Order: sequence, then structure tokens, then C-alpha cells
Amino acid sequence: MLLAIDSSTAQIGLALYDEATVPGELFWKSRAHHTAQLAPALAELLERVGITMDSVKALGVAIGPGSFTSLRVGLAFVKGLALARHIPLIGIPTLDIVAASVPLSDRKLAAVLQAGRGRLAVGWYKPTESGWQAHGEAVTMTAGELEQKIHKPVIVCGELTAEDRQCLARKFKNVMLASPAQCARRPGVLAEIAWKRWQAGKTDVVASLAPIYLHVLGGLPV
Amino acid sequence: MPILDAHSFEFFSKSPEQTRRLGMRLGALLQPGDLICLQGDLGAGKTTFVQGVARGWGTLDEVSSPTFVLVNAYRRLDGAQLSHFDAYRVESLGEAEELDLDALLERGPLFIEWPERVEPILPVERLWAWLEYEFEEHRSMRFTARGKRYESLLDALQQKTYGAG
Repeated sequence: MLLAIDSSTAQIGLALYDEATVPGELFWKSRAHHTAQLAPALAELLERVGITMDSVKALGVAIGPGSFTSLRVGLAFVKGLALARHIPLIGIPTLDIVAASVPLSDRKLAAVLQAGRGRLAVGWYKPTESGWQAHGEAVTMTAGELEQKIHKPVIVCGELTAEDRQCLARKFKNVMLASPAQCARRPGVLAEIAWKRWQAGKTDVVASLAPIYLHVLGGLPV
Repeated sequence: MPILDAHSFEFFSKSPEQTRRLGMRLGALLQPGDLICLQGDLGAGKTTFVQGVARGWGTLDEVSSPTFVLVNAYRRLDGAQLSHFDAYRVESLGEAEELDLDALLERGPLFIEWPERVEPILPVERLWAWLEYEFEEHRSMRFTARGKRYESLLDALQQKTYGAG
């Protein structure tokens, strides 16, 4: 059994995955209470499906981009579990999860998530034989700026507000907006990607796995 | 010092009690996501003002200067949180950014002391207050609003203070 946790943004997600099935999956939008909600939600999910942590043999975690506090909460939590239970940990870029839930197409894909203050983090993906392949690093911009960049047919998928959708719909000839249900970033998808990485033996070093933070200013001295 | 315009409000306080009372009026008007910047030297009345704000907002927690802990959080019975951040000891913008002010704003209103030190990472829309020592217990306070939410907040504060604006 693999346990996946995604706390990149306001959405918290948990999933249990065993290669053949997803025995439990849970995601909700939290009002900035990740610290207080994550551990009890996991305990409740395990209890509900009758699985104990002893059956969990690997951990998957979304490593961002995302906001400082929420990413820190999720990473600290899974690192604690990995170190205490001596199980491997696999970190997956958050926008890869968004991309993986879109059926492959010959168009390019813009995977997005909310970056705070009305902006989006946008990652570009190209279709390849092995699925969507990330192309360059994620950058932050407003929905309006994203709309301006689109001149060819593109799929846009991920966390989009009603305003973002309205703004992007102006480019209806070139923009194919994924439906809200398809845009939901499912922890079950994260679990599936992490499972494949685990089976391929590509696990991460627990101590040094670092999140990808979204900075308010570009090129900020840290 | 800003030039006074329609979106500014000036108040002269003759005592800490009066400063606290103005704070209480503002506190009662606050909503989650409101950002209030308090600029002023030591002794200008920043902490006194926030004491009033916290009371008016409805917390039972005691207000102290957050210089050493960076961020104080005051709780209310409905689960909301008022955050009080002191940027005096923050050494870089990167360090300030890691405190995740956006997350604090999601949980409730946020007050920042020494905001000029972290100005580049702050949201553009906000209420900015300049507090100044005049003499003895007298302090001057100038508020400037940027953005619709803050303009109406300042209007409401003005009305509460002086009656019909």
C-alpha cells in the first residue's frame, strides 16, 4: 500500500493506493488549517477503510510549486512518517499531477494552480509517447497574462476560479478549458505516479527532499 | 508623508486611551484578508493602537509587541485569527516571504509594524497608517487607503469616529 499526500495549495488531498485499487481517497479545500486537519484526516481515512499504517510501505508527496506554509506542513508530515517507519518517500512535482489527469492530445497543455494574490502558477507540458512531458519551469502570472501568451490550440487544466475561466474563455478558438471535475487535483493520481516511481526504484532522499516554493517576487534574494 | 486626499484620514490623539478607542473602532470593522500597515517610530503608539484593534475585533487574548516572536496571533471564539507581525527583526525579504503573509491573511486580518522594511512583498492594496509622536501623550495618525475595500473601510472608520462623514 502507498499513501499519497498533497498539501501544495489550499486543497489538502490524501489517497491510499495498492496498484490494483484506490481503497480510499479524500480531498477538500481547507481554510488555512492544514496543520490542524491533516493528521486527524489521515487517521479517519485509515479507520474508515480498515487499513493500518503497518500496511503502508511507501509514501508519495506533492512537492509544489505551492505556498510556503501548506507545503511545509505536508512535507514535514510525510518526512516524519518516512523516518519513523523506515519507508521510502517519493516527491512528485504538483503540476505533473494536474497534467497526468488530462487525456493525451496533440495540443500543448498548460497545467495551473492558484499561486495567491490572484495569480496562477503555470507549467507547460508537451505530449510524448510516454505521456505529458514538462517543458521548462513553472512561472507565475495572472489569467490575463496567460491568455495573452496563447496563440495556438492549448488545453488549460488545474485550479481555476470562475474569473480565471471567464478570462481564458475569451480565447475560445485556441483554449480548451478542462471541466471543473477534471481540474480537481486528485491525490489518487499522485499516488499512481508515485507508485510507478517507487516500482522503478526511483525514491528520494528523505532528509534532503525540498519543496518548490512560489516566490512573490521574481529573482528574490533568499 | 503622504499628501492628504479623498482616501486619507487624519486623527490627532490626546491620550493612549483615545488611540486605543480609535483602534477599537477599526477592529470592529475588520474582515479576513484585511492588511493594515503601521509605520511609526518607537513610542509612536503602534502597540497601543493594536491593543484597541484586538479588543474591538473581539479577542480575549492579551496584546503585546511581537518584536521578538515576529508574529503574534490573537484568537476569537468563532475560530478567526488576528495576526500581528513585526518586521523590525526580519533580515531579508526572503525571510519575510517565508513567513507566508498570504496564509495569515487567509485566516484573518493582518497588522504589520515596520512595514516599510518588507514593502516589496506586500499586496498593493492595503490600509497604511503613519503614527507620529507629537508631544507628551499627543500622537498624530494618518491613514491612507489603496484599493476599493480599503477606501470603504476608511470611510466607515471616519464615519464611526466623527459621525456622518
